[in-house]
Amino acid sequence: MRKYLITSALVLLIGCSSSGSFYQDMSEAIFGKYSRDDLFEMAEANPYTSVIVSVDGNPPGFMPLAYAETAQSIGREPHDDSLVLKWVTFEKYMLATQSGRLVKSLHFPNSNLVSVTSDQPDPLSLGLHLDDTPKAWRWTLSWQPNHHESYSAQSTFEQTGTEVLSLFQGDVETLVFTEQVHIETVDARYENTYWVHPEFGYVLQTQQRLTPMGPEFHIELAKPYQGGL
Amino acid sequence: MKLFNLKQVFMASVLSFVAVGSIAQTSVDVFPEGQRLEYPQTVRVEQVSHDLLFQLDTAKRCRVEWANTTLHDKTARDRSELLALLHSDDRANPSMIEWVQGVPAFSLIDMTMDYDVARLMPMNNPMLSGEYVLSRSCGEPRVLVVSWRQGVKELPWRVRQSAEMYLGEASVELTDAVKVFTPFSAQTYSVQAYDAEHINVPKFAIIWLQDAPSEVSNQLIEAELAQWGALWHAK
Repeated sequence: MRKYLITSALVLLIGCSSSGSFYQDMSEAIFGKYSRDDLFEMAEANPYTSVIVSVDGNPPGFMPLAYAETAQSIGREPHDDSLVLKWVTFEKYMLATQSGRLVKSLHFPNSNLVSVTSDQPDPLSLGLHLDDTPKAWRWTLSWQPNHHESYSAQSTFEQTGTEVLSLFQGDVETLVFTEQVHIETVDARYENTYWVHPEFGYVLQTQQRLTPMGPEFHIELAKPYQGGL
Repeated sequence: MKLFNLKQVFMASVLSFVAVGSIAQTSVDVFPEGQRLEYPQTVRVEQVSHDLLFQLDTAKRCRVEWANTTLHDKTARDRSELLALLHSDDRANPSMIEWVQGVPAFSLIDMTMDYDVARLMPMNNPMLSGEYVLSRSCGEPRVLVVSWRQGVKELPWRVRQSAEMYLGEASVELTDAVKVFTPFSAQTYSVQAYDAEHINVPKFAIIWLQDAPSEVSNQLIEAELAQWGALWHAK
């Protein structure tokens, strides 16, 4: 029970001054110290929407939802109504997802995603579970460091199976889709995976690269916000 | 018995006037579109970024890229010394003089305007008070090659093009001292050092051939370029 209270207190600290040693101690205590199951228990005991995130297979962290906003909040004209969800750690690392895709990150060491843009709607937002959703997508991404700006990427999606996930709301059968990403300019190829709700199409879990050569993020929905990630 | 004498009333009036006058009004002119954000008092960076994203029509026509969005204090800087040097030097290229005169002389405020950065990190969310210019890129990204003697050349920005490639494209006669100014940062690199560390030159960077006739004029032009912000493409 103590750790749930600590977590709740930390969530309340989002957006507040973080200069105190108490905050620092608690931040360090949360990350890397608890197992995935412990973090799920924390999420369950916590009133806030949250995800469990691990980077390159390292011990997971707990990221509560700080903001749910339109795509305008990241400087994009929305193609649809899907919100940008901004998940923030206690150290103020931020991940932004839209329809399950990472679209921006802040303050992560080594590399950060600056923007994802496209003239076409993301198949993830249209719903990969639908037969008439295009299974190819052309988009542009920018990342730091080294001013990697406006790289053109081509994605193709394919369903590779089904899998039952044990989530907050119980066991859910999901459709598993892989996304093959090709960035021609740097001849980079990598693969992202999405676990998609079979009826509503939202992403419940994902494994994806932040940048072409960057870290791989595994993101699980701990407590949902109106559906998926 | 009078509660206040005339002198006290006068002093109170003066103090009230000073107090009212000290309530800051803040305005932010948005380049290149020319819209203005106005606030009756001081305002946080977060609010300005929010309003750029959500209030202005401009943000809908041109995508906001924080990396190319800069804030300038509208207090004019004195560049008369630099202009005097340019005018007095026969070898100064006329397009250089024209360029220095054409770029508004505002002081760059060295901070990111990113809405998320501002509201997550209190240190990045200071109060603004006074008159500001918020400048952002809109349209085709470019790179400038600036030379005291050879003038100013605008080139289209391309992904994965090195600083040396831009210099080749500009067909300038190279000097030993060439520097790259990246947006947002007064940090400079020699072309060799820059290309060794970076794969890309950022959009709206300035590559400067340090060929002014003296150390003083080199320092002056360097100070000018360090303040460039995003203003040169917002003219």
